[in-house]
Amino acid sequence: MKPPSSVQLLTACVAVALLAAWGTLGFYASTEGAAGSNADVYKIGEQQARFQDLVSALPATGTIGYVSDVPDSQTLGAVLYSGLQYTLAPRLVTNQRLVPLAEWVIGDFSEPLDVTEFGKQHGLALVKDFGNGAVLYRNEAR
Amino acid sequence: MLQVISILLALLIGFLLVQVFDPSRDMQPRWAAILLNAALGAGIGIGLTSIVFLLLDVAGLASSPAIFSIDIALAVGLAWQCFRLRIFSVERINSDPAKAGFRWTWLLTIAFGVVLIIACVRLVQMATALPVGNWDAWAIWNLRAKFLAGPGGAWRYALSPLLNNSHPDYPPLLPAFVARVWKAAGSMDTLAPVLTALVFFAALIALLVSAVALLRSTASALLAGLVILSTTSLLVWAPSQYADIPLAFYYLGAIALIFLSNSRALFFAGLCAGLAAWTKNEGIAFLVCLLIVFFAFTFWKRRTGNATTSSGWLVIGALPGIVLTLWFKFFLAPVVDPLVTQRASMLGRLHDVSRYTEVARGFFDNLLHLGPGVAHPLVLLAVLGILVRWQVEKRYRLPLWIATTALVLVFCSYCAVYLMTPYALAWQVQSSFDRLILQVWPGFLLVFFVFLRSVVDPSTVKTEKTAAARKSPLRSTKTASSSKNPAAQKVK
Repeated sequence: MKPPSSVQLLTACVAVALLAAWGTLGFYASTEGAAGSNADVYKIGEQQARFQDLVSALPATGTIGYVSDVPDSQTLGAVLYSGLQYTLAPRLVTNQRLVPLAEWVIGDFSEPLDVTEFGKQHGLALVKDFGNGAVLYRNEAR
Repeated sequence: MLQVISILLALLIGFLLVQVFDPSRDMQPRWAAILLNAALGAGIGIGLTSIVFLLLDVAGLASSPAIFSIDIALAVGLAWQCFRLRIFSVERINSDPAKAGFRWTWLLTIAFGVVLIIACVRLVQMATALPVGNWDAWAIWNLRAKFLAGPGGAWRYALSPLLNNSHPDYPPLLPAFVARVWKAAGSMDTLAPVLTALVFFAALIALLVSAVALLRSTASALLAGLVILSTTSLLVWAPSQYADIPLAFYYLGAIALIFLSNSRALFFAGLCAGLAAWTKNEGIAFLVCLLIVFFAFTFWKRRTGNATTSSGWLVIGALPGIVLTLWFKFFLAPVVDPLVTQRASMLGRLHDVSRYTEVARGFFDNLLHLGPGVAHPLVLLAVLGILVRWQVEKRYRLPLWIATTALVLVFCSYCAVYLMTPYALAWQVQSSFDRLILQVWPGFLLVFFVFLRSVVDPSTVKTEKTAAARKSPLRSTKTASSSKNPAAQKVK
């Protein structure tokens, strides 16, 4: 195949340089939101802050139960559950229905409700309501 | 501060290890050889130190003093070995002879520098804005890192079948490395995963640029750098703290080293392929494909004892990854992946034609979204293909066959998984196909730029060809000095 001329090589280089610069500037402009204060779309940072006081009441490791008013089959439920698993690690957060039952159970609520009554329905005794939907229960079945 | 020191120690260990064996020995330009060693060293250092940490953790010996003691001992030992071999001698580093150049390289350097700075500024901003990373980062990788860095036997939770929504069967290179840094520093700060993600991205770019510079020319390398930086979906995922960028790095490392074709390079190629298997399940497919393709093509083309030797080096390099992955998959990780636990139902899905259509549509959709409009990387590649044209050097034919076939096979294996997956196909394609394309994209770019004619001044090529005609077209370690200029190679 005939080799390219100097002009062809220069044209290719200039075209690639300009297009790459154009693309990168486009990337810069289009990612304004991802680099701003709304980047945390799942609010994991907020969840960490919400459970900050509760974490200090838990043992450093071990299995922790989990109950919520939102089923984890819903997107919000999955975000709350997975987010809390990350927040509380290296403790292992598992669904409260699983056996063996964990001594400590965390209630993670998306809306205001009677947390004492909710606990009783699930066989849990309220230890402390930390507010903002963060509740600590103790398993009565143990 | 301790987290930064711990990461730097891992990078230093990797760099010194690669430098001791120096797979790009006697290759030119030297800046590219050193950059290649540094980039490779970053990934290999992270991989090996993550392995050491996991073994310590499982044995109940992981602690900050233990981690730093081992790191410092390794760094000092390797530095002494480098000194003994006089790897950093002035004579070697300054032995860059005159070579074919390109008069507009300065223009490409400026363009690459500007694009790199813009991209890096935004990546740092994105990483700072979301230090916990995207969904998989906190729900899978960093969650497991927290377990591995936890007190006592908390590492077992990382493998608990109760975490069935968090893939406890995924290989642990990335979480083990982050956990190692956390354990060494004594705190679980988001700095460690953020820095790890950015280091892997930087190493990926450096590896591609340096490999193309060694195999083709500096101008070709800068063009490759511009093309990969115009892949905006790569830039979007770079600070996400997912394992796909590290995986892309190990794929690229393995492929680039196969082009260097010496025993040391093949050893490190195997090591990279093994570390890919230790990073993500897709890496296991890559390791298997690469080994099979390498054996098949090497024995087919060479039919000599040399083929056995080169295959042997590749396997020896891959051994740590193979052994650890087998140990992890068969003795540690729970079998919870529905893809593995499903039985005959997968065969029924293979007969569903609509799934093939959906996978093909997903592929083209995501390929189109690699970059924006006219600045799409495929447009850039088309411009280069038309204007610069092709020139396959004889010495690169076998590695090209191996690299291309391995990448195609790996990608086919990804598509096969989509066809068989028990999850909702539309969701799975939408949530992962772009990342799967990115895993093989840097490797594909390397193959493209090896196919592409070297970007050097035409007048220089004519002069150099006359001189090169007297020399052997096939490069070996002994005759490497005759092949320092890629443009001077005999071309068929």
